[in-house]
Amino acid sequence: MSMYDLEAFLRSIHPFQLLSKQEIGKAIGAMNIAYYKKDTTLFSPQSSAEFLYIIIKGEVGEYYEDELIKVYSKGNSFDADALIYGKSDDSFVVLEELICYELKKVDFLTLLDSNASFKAYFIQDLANKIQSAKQKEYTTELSGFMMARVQDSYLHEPTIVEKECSIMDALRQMEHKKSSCIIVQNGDDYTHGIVTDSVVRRHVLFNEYDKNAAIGPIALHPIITIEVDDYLFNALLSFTKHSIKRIVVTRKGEIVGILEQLDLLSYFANHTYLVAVQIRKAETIDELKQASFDLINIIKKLHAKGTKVDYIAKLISEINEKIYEKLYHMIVPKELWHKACLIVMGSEGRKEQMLKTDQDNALIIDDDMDASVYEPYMKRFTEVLIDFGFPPCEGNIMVSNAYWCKPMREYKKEITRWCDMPSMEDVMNLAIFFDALCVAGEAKMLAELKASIFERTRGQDVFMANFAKAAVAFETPIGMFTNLIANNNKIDVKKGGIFPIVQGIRSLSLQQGIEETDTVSRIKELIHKGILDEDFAGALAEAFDTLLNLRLKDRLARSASGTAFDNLIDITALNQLELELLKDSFKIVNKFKKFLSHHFKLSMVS
Amino acid sequence: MLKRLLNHLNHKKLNDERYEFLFGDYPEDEVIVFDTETTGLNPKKDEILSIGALKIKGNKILTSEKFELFVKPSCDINEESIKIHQIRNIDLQNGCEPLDAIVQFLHFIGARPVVGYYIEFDVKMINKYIKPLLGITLPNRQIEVSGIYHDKKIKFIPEGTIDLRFDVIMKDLGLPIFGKHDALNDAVMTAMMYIKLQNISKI
Repeated sequence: MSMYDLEAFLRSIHPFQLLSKQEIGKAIGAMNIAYYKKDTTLFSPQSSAEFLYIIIKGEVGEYYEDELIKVYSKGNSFDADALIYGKSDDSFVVLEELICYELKKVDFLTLLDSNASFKAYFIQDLANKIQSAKQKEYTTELSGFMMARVQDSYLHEPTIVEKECSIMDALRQMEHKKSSCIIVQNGDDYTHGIVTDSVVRRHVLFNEYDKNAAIGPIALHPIITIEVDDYLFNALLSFTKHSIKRIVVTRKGEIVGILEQLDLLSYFANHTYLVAVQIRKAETIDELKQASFDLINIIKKLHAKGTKVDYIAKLISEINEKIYEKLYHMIVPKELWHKACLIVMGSEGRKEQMLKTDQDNALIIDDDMDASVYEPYMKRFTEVLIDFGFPPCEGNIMVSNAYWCKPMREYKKEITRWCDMPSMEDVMNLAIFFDALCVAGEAKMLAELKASIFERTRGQDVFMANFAKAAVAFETPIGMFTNLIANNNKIDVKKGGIFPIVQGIRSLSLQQGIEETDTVSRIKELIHKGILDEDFAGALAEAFDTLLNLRLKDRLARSASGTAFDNLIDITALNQLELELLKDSFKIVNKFKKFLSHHFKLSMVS
Repeated sequence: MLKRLLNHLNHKKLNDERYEFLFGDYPEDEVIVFDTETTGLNPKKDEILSIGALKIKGNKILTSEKFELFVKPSCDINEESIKIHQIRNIDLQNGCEPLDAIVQFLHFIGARPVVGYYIEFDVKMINKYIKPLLGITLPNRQIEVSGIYHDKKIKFIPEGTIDLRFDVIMKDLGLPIFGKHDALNDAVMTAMMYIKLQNISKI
């Protein structure tokens, strides 16, 4: 293999791409190619490792005592730990005739010392290891756009003027810099405002505002901003959410440029924004339905492009919320809009729903209103959503069910009942209600009910223990030697990991009075409140993300083949990295369960 | 017997004692694999453009001690051969003088046997330079990989004809083919063939 090919080969293996050109040159200069027959033991607890092996062709098995725990194949390297710590608990045996590169221990250790991020990969703690492996996954699998950060896109130079600057003068500067908008700073009641063509048109042309007058008063504020190192995808979400055409880009709060929607869209062939506009402009239910179908196509395309799943989930949430809101406004007469509050609950409230999920929605009605007025509208609402392709909820948790469409005082009564002597069903009802998010109507009502939940549960240790207990109800599918416990090669990731994390975090959030609804934000708040240690919380969030990712990947594969969804994933379909991540995630889940048992004194309740 | 005699005669012709090492001892488990890129296929008039060589020690290819040199040709390379080996005139601007390259090469290989694919040609090319220089031809034992392959294969299809094309052998032996053909790359692949053939009794 020529130097060039060898370099390309090495760079394709994580984490070798982190090495500088000079370092990789050194590594290549120090490597030999070796050939081993099947059944050769490369090293074992008795004979220490002399090389880092990088497989060109063939397979090697790692054995703990007599159990095969891992298989390495083309492009895998092993075993850094054995070199770093000078010993190995496992034996490495050639399973299939092997051709590999060998990098001598001393050369490998020298590389570790010369490159901090390379070293960090091998020595860092688990959360970082997963993160770093995923980052690598993104860069290889994701289309450039999805991984691109705001700073990677073309940014227009901003035209920044003081509030006293005349409109004409500001326009000249804007023309000169070919900017598309003007940033006004140090305004009367704002630090930054924005003036766009349409603002000038409206004030100067239509309202005959003096073009030589100060620009300050006509600026729009506050401005929407995004940091340069944020993902472009988040900029897209922001465009969609605020229905805007440009966003001000900041670096540590300082304005550095303007990102235009057009530039972004030219990257992004699927025009998500257009769906949002379609939803906003829809005037009939049919038009709205069309927009909701377009969304499904976009999701398929995004997935085909390999977009990270939690971005897809965020996008689905963002757009579904808009559909809900629009539909509410279409079906319910205007005078009734603000006398009620439409909420989504459970996974939708946590913004963790994937693909088409069951409806989990409810309506809270003002105590002064006659609840029966809403009944026909809500029945219609559920029907239309079903027609749009949102499957009905099996537990009938939908606005068409009178239990989930009632006055505020009735909810208050239920909350009291849920909290005293709860059955398992009551616990789950409270749980999904606690995750609720307002999508239309009067948000204050939901806030008031949530406040009453906090009030009811505060200091109720026995209740909290019963609530949290559900999180440890299922065994984590991982054995003593970190072997996965599968049934017919299938593992239930929901029972095994997703639910324990969601319920555990929900319990801690309820106890701590945290209002965020999505699991990751709740985890952040728990760090902030000093309940979770930052390193552990980071690992937990990563484990959660990993499990959701693996489940979605499995589901999408099944949706392609037309088989039904469940929470079982087939471990034979996972690659080595995914298996590692899955094991690591379950280890973290176990650690979290221990923490919960201790925190809520779960041994005291049975 | 005849080989030893010829070798003896060849040795006697050596006119520079500094090159005695070519007839000396070498580490038993080591061989050299080498390949050359040339301006054409006629050893009489064509010239060497690059030499790639590697040591094999036991079952390891010592890529960390590789030998790769580009040689300045006496006149411009013709277009046709550029298309084959993709070495352009500009690539050889910093190449070494042919005699320097050969001297370095001889020091690299010492008395070790040389392995190659159609090695006869490569050895002829080398001889073209060392004959006038030292009075001898390359004395090292020559091992032809396609020959070993042929002999192992023929046991099982005694009547058949055996396809000895490079890529066919690589594929038949289940070896990975790397990128483009250049002297060093070909030497690495030839080395793999050699090691694999040493380790199997049948194909």
